[in-house]
Amino acid sequence: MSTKDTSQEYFKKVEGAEQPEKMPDQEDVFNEHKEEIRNQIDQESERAETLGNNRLERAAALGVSPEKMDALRRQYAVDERLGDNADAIHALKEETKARINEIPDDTNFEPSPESNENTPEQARENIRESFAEKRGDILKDVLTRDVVSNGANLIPFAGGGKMLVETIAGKEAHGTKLSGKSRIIHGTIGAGSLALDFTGIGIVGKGALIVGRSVGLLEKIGAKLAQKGSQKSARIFARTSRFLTDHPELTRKAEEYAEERARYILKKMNQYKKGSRGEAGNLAVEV
Amino acid sequence: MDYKSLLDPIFQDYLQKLDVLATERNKIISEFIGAVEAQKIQDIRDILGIPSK
Repeated sequence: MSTKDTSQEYFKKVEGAEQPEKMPDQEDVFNEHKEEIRNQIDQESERAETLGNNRLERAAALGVSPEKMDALRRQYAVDERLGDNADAIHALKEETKARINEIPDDTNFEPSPESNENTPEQARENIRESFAEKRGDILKDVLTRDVVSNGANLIPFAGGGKMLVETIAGKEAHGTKLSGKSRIIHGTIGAGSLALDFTGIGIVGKGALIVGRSVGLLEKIGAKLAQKGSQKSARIFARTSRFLTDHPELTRKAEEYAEERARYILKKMNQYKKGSRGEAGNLAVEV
Repeated sequence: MDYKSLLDPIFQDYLQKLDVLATERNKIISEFIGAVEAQKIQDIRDILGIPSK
């Protein structure tokens, strides 16, 4: 099924539909960042507290008698020193988390004169960009490995990359020209399906998968390609992302359409994983 | 000032202090392992009848 076949009907359906779910405000973004830092502190502390344990295990396996090992432990006071060290790591963790917790959740941040990075909109954009950057790295690898080729859409993962290439080229592999809405829809589904492949099926139901992300994804891919010296490809990606940016309302609808299609495809994938192979054949066509 | 400028210095300070503690832990373990290995070598020398240097 071509994306063009169902898109017109979908656009009619979403006309007048409610706007996408409201994005988090400044306090939500701040609290999310605080939680992220606290989690990192837990992980780093745990890593430090277990550092060198494998070396100790290897030493214990050297075959020195238990009596002599005990004597060495006492002589070097190793248990006490490691215990004190672990206590210090734990205290540092708690002290740092307490410092973070002291910052009020509803802190009112003044905009920096040099940058508007702290505005809620910019903070939201940073989150989107962070998402897009991670996926962009992976997508860049896919594209530069020449996975995209005839028949690649038999695999949902590669199918997304193939669709992006077709979007950039302005025509489908078999020569059908893509323009206007069709091109935008093609690109958003391609970007979205790739993002989905790497986000994981488990995220379904936890909010928007594609809405608001396709432009950022394409921009990041372009930047990465430029870094690698693929200037021509980078320019094409930049033009495509500008194309989407210049048509925000259409892009939003396309993303919503892509989201609906992606969720449908994921549902089929789940069925396929459960053993209904007949559904998989449809996937390739529908992606 | 933005929200990152409040949190990131605290986190960086934590990482620096943690690095000192991790280095200390490594040093304690290395000293002990060195002693265990030296003891193992001595045990082998004793078995083989090789006098200590």
